[in-house]
Amino acid sequence: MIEVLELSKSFGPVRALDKVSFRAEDGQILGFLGPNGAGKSTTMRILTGFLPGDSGSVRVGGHDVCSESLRVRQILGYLPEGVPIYPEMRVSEYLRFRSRLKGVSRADRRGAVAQALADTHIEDVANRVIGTLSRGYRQRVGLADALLAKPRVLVLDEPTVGLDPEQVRQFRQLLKEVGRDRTVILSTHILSEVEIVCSHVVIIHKGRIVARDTAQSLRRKYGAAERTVAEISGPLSEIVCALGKIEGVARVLSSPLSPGVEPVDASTRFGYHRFTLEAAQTDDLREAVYRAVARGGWTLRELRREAITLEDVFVEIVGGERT
Amino acid sequence: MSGLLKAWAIFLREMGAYFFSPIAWIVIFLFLVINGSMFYAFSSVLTGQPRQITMVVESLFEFSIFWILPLSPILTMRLFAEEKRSGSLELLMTAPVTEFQVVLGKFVAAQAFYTIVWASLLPLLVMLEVLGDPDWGPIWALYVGLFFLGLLTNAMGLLASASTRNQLVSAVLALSGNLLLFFLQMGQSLVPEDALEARRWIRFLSFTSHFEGEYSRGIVDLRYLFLYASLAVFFLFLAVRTVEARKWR
Repeated sequence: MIEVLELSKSFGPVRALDKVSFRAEDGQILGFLGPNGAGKSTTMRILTGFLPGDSGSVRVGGHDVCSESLRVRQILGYLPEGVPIYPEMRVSEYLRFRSRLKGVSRADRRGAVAQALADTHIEDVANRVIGTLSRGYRQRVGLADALLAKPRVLVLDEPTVGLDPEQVRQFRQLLKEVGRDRTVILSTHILSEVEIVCSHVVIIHKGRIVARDTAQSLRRKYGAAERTVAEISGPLSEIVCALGKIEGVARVLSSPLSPGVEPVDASTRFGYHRFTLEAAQTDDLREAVYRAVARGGWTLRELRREAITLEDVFVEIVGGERT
Repeated sequence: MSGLLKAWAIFLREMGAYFFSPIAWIVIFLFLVINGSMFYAFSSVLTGQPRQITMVVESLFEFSIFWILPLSPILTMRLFAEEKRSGSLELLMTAPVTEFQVVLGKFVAAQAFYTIVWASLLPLLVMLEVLGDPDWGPIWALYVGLFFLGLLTNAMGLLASASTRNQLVSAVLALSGNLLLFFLQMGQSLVPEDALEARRWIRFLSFTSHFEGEYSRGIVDLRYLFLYASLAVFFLFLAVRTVEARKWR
């Protein structure tokens, strides 16, 4: 369990965090989302007790990170940004060192290291010197270290940077497995990652929390959850007018599809436009769109529903802040 | 107990790092080559002298005293500065270890390596034992003195390393500290001749005088050892505070 209340932190005149509050329960995977420099890494450092906050309280697993720092660090696995691990050590040697530091008993040490190596699929490089490993492998060694000693809380700062797509897929799988019975918080600026892995999302921008919810309800809150996309050729204004009249449509956007490159439809002699319809509710608009097109005698060549991505939400929130 | 185990883990890793890095081997290599050739030179120059063996031992140690100056700065400069530069301090200090355990583990590693470097002179002395009959009293006294002095210089070096992220800065800081101790004796000339108390204090604090005076005559003065050890504890305390200082900003 992670509980952050009114946390503020300044570096000199720069206010890195401004009254940040959020919480994550056991079994939740919390995505900490924000553009670069939003305060993600600072929050992670305070969560792990490396830096103190200026004001506010941070509790991890029920312990205060300042006054009970050691207890917090005992139940915490941390993967810092950039994975600063000793380049001159061998992988298994490094993990043995870390398990000693984390107080894994002598009897359990071998098993714990082997388990961490297996979980992160790095048994094949166990005897390699860390400095000679590729970025993706180093990242996984860092992750193996974070998983050692079976921490109840996992704090991962940009964990998938440097992994190739297959490794990212494996990592997500692993995260879902380990995240079942513990609290995981991972920071990222990659939205698709949050979409796939995280149950809850906190969006931070310029040191302030701008949104905090489950991934699903965030999407719902910021605009419709779904939209309908149609590619139609015909007189533009008439189509917009007809689509706008469909019951339940909140907004119609149209964009021409690269005129001159796209062939003109032979029957209507109009170019294709892409229309995006946002509904007030989550009704299926596709049938109504088809009927409207048929009535006008235009040509319809694509009609699909699209889920609104977190990216749209993100752009809306962060973009709105900027203007 | 488990706290000591964690300091032990740090110690093991630092010893590994010493033997992995080329610096350790370069230091030992130079130490052996230079002291070995000096040993050879002293032995041939002093051949036939009545106190030959004693003089060889004395010259050898008198000369190798100069190693005190660069040795600790070189051995300690990496310990914290490198962790700070690479960011691995963040991983280290977010593991369940205290600043004290980390400082202790690193310090003992530096001290152990320092001792290994000095011990590499032993084969030369064993050679003397085989060929002649050296007086081992002054030799052991010098070793005790060097060990305790190492506590002080290594603690200073560790403090220097904890206060910067640049290894070179750390080495220069530590070297300046050593030079200060080394040349303290010259400060005597600044004090009026009749200020006996002040002179006595300067002589007490300046470690060169201890080596020239007591150790080479086989005297181990516990006051000096206590002085070095307590100063070492003081500097280690400052080092712990310096590592903690990231939390005060």
